[in-house]
Amino acid sequence: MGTSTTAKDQHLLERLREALLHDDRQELAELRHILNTREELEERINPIIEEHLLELEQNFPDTYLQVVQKVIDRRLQQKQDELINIIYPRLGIMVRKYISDEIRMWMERLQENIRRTSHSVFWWRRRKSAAEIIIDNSRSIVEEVYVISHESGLLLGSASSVETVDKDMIAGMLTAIKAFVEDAFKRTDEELQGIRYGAYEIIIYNFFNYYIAIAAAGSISEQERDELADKILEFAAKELNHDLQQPDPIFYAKIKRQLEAYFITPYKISPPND
Amino acid sequence: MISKKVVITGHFGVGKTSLFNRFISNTFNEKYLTTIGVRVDKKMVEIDGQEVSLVIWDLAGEVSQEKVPRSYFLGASAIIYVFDLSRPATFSRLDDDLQYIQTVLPNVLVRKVGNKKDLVTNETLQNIHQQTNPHYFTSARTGENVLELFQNIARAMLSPTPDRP
Repeated sequence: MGTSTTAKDQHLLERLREALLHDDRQELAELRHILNTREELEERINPIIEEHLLELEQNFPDTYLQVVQKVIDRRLQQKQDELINIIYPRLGIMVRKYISDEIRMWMERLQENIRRTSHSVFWWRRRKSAAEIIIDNSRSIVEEVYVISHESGLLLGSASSVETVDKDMIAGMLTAIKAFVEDAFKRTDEELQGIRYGAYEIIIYNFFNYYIAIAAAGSISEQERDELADKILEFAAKELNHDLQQPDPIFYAKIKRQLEAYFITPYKISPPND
Repeated sequence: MISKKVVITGHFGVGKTSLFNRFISNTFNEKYLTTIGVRVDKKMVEIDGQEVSLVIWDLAGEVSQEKVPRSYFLGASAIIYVFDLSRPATFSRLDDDLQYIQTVLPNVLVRKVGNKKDLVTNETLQNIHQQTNPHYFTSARTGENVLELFQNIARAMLSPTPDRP
């Protein structure tokens, strides 16, 4: 008896629940359908995400600028040397380009003036420019290239077309001579740029925490010197644009290959066309 | 392979070049030839299977280290300060010189070396040891402790927590 009453009550209760919760249940079913159907969900959520993205885009500088700035500042401080090594040769390229453009324009003006006034001059009859006459035609070649740490004088890389004495020793002595000259004459802002002996010359290109020394045989014309400087700057910008304080053996091997490719194997400083 | 710069410095005539030659080429010359400027050479040292290339700068002797071009010290991983055990004047400025070197190269590995051990008595050695507390007493003439000195330096430089003075 008690059981049939309870079943009846349950039925009534269910009907009551159905009457009261019908709308809610329908809404719940709809919500489930939306949540479980990608297209439905995207349709409703995408505008909200887009709105947030737009807000983030508009407010990003205010909210995150300081944080990003701090991260950049810290990174710059940690990698100062690396950064300078990247910038240094590029500045050099720009300065050289400016100077060479100026010199070229000056040479053109000079040649134009000479052409106008000196038709009978010998070099003009031979159809040679003044610059070509001035430049020595004798060949010069790069025999050795060294990349050396400024402070320690330790060798960072080298390549050579001839057998030489120990390269580490050369790097150390060259640095010592360089340091001696720079110290002895107290020209703190000036750096040794070359050593000449007989038909040989060591040309030094100074960078931030390393320098590149090139040993060349034969007389080097200004044009050749310029070409060599361009090549050095290009090499430094491409190959030495990272931290050189603690190079590993892989770096040594790579830099040797690159030096050979740039300066030894194919590189023979071409004389001006005759 | 690792390369490290090691600088040998000290008063003139204390035997820096003799130590340098003894280590590099195992030779000794009785004649005294003063070093002009600096000499650089290198030697490989093997420590526990690892090769270290010691690029050694033998500096010209100076009465005071402040007279040595500062740039010679830069980038050095170790300094060998040599004095002559038979000439007290060569270690009279030891503390000042070492202090100066520390200002140029803070935390650099320094080895104080009393050379010409073969010229002094054991009693003198004991007295000097008390005064200077050196890391090594060497004799470039006999070769005593020369190799040990450089091997100690190479080992200390390879150590993750280098033994600093």
